[in-house]
Amino acid sequence: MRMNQHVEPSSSGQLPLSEPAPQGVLERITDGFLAFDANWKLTYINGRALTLLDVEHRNSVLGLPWLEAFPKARGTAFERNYALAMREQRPVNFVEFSRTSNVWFEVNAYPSTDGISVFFRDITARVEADQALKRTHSLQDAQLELARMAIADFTVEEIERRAVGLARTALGARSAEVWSFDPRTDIFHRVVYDGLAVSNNDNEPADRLSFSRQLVEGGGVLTSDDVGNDPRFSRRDEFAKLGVVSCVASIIGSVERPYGLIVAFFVAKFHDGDVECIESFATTIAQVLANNEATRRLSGILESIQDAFTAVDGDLHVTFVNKRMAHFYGLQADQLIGRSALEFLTNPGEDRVVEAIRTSFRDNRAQTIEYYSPAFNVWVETRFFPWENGVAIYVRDVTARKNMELEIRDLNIDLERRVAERTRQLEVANKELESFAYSVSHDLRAPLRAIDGFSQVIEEDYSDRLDDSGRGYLVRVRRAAKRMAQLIDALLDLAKIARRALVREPINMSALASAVAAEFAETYPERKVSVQVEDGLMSFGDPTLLRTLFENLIGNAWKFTRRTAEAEIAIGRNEAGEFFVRDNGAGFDMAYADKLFGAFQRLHSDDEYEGTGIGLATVARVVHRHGGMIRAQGESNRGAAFYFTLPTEAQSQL
Amino acid sequence: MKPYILLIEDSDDDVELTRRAFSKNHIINEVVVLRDGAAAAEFLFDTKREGRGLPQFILLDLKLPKISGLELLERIRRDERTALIPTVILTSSKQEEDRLAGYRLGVNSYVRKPVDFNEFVEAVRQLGLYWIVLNEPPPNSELE
Repeated sequence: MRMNQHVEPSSSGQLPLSEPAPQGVLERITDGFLAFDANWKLTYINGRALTLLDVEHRNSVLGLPWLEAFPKARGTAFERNYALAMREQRPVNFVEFSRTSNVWFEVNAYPSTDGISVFFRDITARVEADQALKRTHSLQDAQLELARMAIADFTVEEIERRAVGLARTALGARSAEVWSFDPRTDIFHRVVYDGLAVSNNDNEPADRLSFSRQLVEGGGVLTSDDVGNDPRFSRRDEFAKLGVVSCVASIIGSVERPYGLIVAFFVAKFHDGDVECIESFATTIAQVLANNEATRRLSGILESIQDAFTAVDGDLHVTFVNKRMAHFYGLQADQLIGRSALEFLTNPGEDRVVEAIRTSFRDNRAQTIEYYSPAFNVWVETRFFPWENGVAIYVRDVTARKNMELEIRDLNIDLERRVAERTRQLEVANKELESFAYSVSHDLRAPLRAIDGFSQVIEEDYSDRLDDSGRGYLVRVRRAAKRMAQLIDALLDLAKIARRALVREPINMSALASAVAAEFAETYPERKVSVQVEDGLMSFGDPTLLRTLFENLIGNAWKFTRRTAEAEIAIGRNEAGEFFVRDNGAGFDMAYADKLFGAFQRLHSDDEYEGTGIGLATVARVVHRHGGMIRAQGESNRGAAFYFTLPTEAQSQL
Repeated sequence: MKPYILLIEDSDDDVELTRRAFSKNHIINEVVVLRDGAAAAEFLFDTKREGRGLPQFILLDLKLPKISGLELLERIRRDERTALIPTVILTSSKQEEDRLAGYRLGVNSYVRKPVDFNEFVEAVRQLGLYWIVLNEPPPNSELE
């Protein structure tokens, strides 16, 4: 501190006045002035000094040893520095708080010929301004330090411990505490404290911790500069006992959703900046807690997903991995975080991953790649989602699905191969059948024609040389030839049904059945048959084949009702949706029902009912070609019924 | 030149039965028989007819050795000398494909040989009556 301008010391270090200055001068200066002799007796005190040191009468102190006159100076810097000036005979300058006057003095003590002279002035305002500034700086430093810890990923416990420490050192609190709030139990738990514990109890129900309610009502901040007499506090006497005078508390989090609170207790009145500082501490802790919560929630989500997940920044450094991902690489999550993805994305196939991360980040686009990883012996599907600071990567083991796909592909290839093979075989078979049918048509018929023709030639030209039985045999030869020709034609018809390309269109079954029945009635006018056809029967199928079907079924019914007195044929559809053709004719024994639909199978002799044994085989083939079913119901001499189904239009298109 | 019927048929039995059917129907036109498609082609197109003109009427079986009936029919219709000769397919086949192909190639009739000889005689009678007696042949000097 600079010397008083009015009393510049000389180069010798001596005061300019070697003798006590004339009273007039010393009384006019604005500084206080004291003079001690070599025995520390106060030899002079000016009027200003009387005022500053709160002395009423000059005579009450003059001539006294100065420490007797001002006993509160004993043991202070005043005593030490005056002694120094006296002993070493040199000027001393210092600043000290005076307990006598309760102000800060700047003091200059000069050795004199007989003792020392002391000039002093009240600089309390300047000192306090200076201290306030220093304090402000230190509070700002404290807030910054805590914020830096939060950014540097210190744990919330470390930050809370530092916060109470800073409350003590930077704010000068007597004690500071952080309490966390558990909303499930409504209880505050003391997490950490520094200095004196104000409460003996570490767990306080919210309604008992006196200032918690006040905090909420105060909008998150509570201050009191006289806690001993503040009616808002229930433990005023405890505060008083501990010498606590004031306190500053802030809720951590929000009033609606508090994480806890921080409180600092002072043995003097707190300073203006302290409230702001404690609030700042609370905000920092709340942010760390909120961030932890968000991270925990995110981690929880990311741990719970089936995918392995990792996030990297733009430089490919890992910022997050979930356990599943770490497990892939046989490491703990924290062993991967911060490392470059390039360090461990070294397995075959993973160069594509690196490339995808780069392009996703660069082009800001999501993408998905799929590859086989020989290192892990799995198929992986990897999805990349860019975000502002990097790329989020989801890795899914799709081996099972992939194996299935490959299996299906193999099966399909095999199936296609087999279909092609079958098709080829079928084509060959069809060709063979065609040439067979052609041969049957031509070559089997030609000899029959010769048999019949030449039998007739014999009959015509040589009958005079034959007796009756000889002529009878010739008739049998010709009849057999004709019969065989019929069989050949029936067989060809049957083959034709199998080979014919199926046409599918809506068919009016009622109209078709009626038309066929009408043809029979016309062909056999001598027969009297009652034919009942249900109206409105519709189906979907091949008109030619379905006509053949009715020709055979109605033809059979017509034939087998020949010996029935009142022949009846009914055509309709039952409740199960089956079409039927029913007659009251000869019927059949159900024991042979399974033989009905085979080619050349006959249940009646030619003598009873003529036939080729092809009709029902043809009917069955027509139904089967449409994808339907056929069955027969009958009883000897009680009639027969044939039931068949045809797929609907919708079913046909499947 | 005397008009004649050309019968292209490989079966001896059928040739004999056809001849008998003609005679039973009093068709007395000469019948020239060729036993396979190749021989018929030679006869018709290479003029190895030993002084004969073209036939007034051709009866053609389909299933023939060497050159099939349909192939022969195609050549008959393609060659302008023979294109207009009334030609009737007389065959055992009742295959739809054959019938369709026959008509496509411009055959005049398609008759299936019945097994029953009486029916066959009747079929030949009607053929002969129509194509030889009633039908006016196309104006072609060679046919006269």
